[in-house]
Amino acid sequence: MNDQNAEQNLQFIREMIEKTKKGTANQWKFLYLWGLAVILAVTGMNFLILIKQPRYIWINWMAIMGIAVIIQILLVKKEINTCEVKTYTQNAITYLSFSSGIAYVLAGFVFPILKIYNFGVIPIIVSIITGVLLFTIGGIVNWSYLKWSGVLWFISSVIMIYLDSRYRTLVFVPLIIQSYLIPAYILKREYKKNA
Amino acid sequence: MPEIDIIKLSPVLHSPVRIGIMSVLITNIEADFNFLKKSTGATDGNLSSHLSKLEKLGFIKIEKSFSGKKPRTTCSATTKGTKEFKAYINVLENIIQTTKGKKN
Repeated sequence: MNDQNAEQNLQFIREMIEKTKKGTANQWKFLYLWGLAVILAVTGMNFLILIKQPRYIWINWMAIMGIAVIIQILLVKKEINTCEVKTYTQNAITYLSFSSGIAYVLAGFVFPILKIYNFGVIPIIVSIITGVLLFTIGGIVNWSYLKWSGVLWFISSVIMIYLDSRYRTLVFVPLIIQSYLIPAYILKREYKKNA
Repeated sequence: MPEIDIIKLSPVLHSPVRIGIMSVLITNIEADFNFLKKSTGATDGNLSSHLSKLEKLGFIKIEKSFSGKKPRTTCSATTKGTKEFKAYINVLENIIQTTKGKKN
C-alpha cells in the first residue's frame, strides 16, 4: 500500500463517519412533545388561577405530564424498534433526558409535597434543570443555539425570583417556544431534507 | 515505507465494504443491516458475506431479532474489532507520515 492508497482509505473512513452523523437528527418529536405539554400545562394552570380554582393546579400538571410521559415511552419504544443506528450521541442525550426527568419529578412534585419548599419555588428550580439540560445537549451535539437557550433558562431563573410567584410559570411560554418548538422545527426540516 | 506497517495491516480490512462497515460500527453503538447497506452501497448478498467474515474473525457481533413481524439484523463492533480497526487507522496515518517525511 502506498501513501496515496492510505490517504484514500482514510478519506473514505472520514466520509463514512460523517455520513453516519447526518442520520441522527430525528429527536424533534420529543422537543415538540415536551414543548406542547408544558405550554398546555401552563395555560391550564393560569386558567385555573383565573377561575379561582388553584387547588386543582397539581392535578392539571400531573395529568398533562403523565400523558406526556406515556407518549414519550411509546415514541421511545417505536424508535428502538425502527431506528437503524444507535449512536453514542443519542445514548448520552437519552441518559441526560432521563436523569432530568427524575430531577423534574423530585423538584416539581416530591419536594413540594414533602414541604421542603413551597410551590412558588418550583418554576425557578425547573428553569435551572432545563438550563442544565439544554446547555449540555447543546455541548454534546455542538449546537450553539441550544447552548444559548440553556443560558436563557439560567437567566430566567434569576428573573423569576423578582416576579410574583403566581406569574413565574408564564415566563416558560416564550422560553419553550424559543428553546423547544423552534429547535424542533429546525430539526424536523433537517430530518426531512436528509431523509 | 517501514515493512512492519504492511505486516501490521489486517488483511481482513482491505475490502472497502469491510472498511465501511467497521467505520460505521466503531463510531456508533450498533447499526442494523439496512443502515449498513445504505452506508456502504453494497448489495444484500455482498453485505451478508462481508458481515459473516467479520463475525467469524471476531471483529463484530451480529444479533438477529424481530421488529413486529419483520426480521431484524443488528451489528456492533467487538472490543477486538475496535482495537484492530484503530490499529489499522494508525498504520494508515503512519504510512502517510513516513512518506511525507521522506519527501521533505
